[in-house]
Amino acid sequence: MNTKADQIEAEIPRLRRYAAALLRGQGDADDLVQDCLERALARWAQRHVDEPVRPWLFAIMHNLFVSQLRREASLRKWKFATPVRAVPAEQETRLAFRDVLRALDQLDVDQRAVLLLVGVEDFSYAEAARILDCPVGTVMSRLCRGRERLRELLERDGPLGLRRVK
Amino acid sequence: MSGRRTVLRVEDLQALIDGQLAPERRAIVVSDLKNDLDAQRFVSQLIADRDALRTALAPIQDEPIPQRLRAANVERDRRRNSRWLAVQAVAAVVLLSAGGGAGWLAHEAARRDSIVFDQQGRWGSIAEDALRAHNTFSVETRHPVEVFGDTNDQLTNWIAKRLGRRLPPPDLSPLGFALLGGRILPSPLGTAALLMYQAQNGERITLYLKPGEAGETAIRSLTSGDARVMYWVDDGCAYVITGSLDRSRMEALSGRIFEHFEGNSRAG
Repeated sequence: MNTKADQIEAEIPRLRRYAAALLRGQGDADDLVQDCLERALARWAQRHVDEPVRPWLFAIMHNLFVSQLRREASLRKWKFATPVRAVPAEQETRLAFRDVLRALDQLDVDQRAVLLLVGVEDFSYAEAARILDCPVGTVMSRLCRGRERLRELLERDGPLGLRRVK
Repeated sequence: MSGRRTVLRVEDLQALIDGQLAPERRAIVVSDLKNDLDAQRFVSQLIADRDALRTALAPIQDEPIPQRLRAANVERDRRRNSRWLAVQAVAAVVLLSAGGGAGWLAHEAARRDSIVFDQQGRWGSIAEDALRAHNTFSVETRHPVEVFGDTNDQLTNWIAKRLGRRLPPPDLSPLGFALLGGRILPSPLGTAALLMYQAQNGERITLYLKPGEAGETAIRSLTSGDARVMYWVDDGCAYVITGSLDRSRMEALSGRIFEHFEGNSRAG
């Protein structure tokens, strides 16, 4: 094993999680991860030595995701297969989780990406801005609106998990 | 919601839970928060939502990495591709030096770097061809195949002769599908073979094999009407499986077929 493969491999579980949460129901998350890995390995030499691997990989994946969305928009004929289940069925039956994922699905893709990058993947605002190729201010406002929207959705659709039993 | 925040701005509270405040600012926000019940509720709600999202998505991160995504495997496949493409480029030079066509060669060289992305159009049309063949022949009651599959070797030899490559039909009986047989198909991109399998209840699936493909790809899936198509390119051959089954059954079949040909190419 070389250090390149080691460094990239260490990030695969996170890349899979992000891809699955980002794509929910729109395509095969592992295909996206694989395309990302292929591109990362091909471009490893072009990465700046000081550039941390994790945000670099996430930026590659996000670019691929955006071009995939564009490609799909132009591909009328083929549609993706049935939604890929991002989370094992037994987990989604836990009501609270199901609610939050369903709410996540309803956010627009920009808000979803920021919520995941900052809230789940623990990137700083600056790193998220670099990954999404947008200003830090945009990251913060999307985050704000995204969280507000998520909360609204959770309240509107009823917090099933919190329903009183008595 | 932002209207409620007078003393503390939403951005501050946001940045607080995200750990994005500078130490001095953080001290101020934390101390202001002590006197603001509304803001406290807001912050704990944000944290609860964030944690729910993390918990819901945690299982994916804990899954073992699928073999095809192991970095070493992706790297190995990539190297194999570039070696193969180098051979192909040499062959192209030999062919083209006889009849010109330098422009085409330059084009080939230029697209080599992004082969995985550029080849998708070609592989998409192979999948489309396979789907057409499936739709044409899987409904055929009297002549679904040219050569029946009960004499397995005969079928294998016939396909090998026509396609220039031994591609013995995989055994899909553990998944409930018996081999009916196969046929040879003309295709715009070269000769292909179509194998047909049938389940006890009459359900049919087809496996389309098209050798002579450069590059490799992950398994990709498409649907068209009732039919689901899964295809991939590996070791110089395009494999397309088509059937009206749910995704998990199609994946199981794809996995078995993939392993069969992997084992076959290692053995041969």
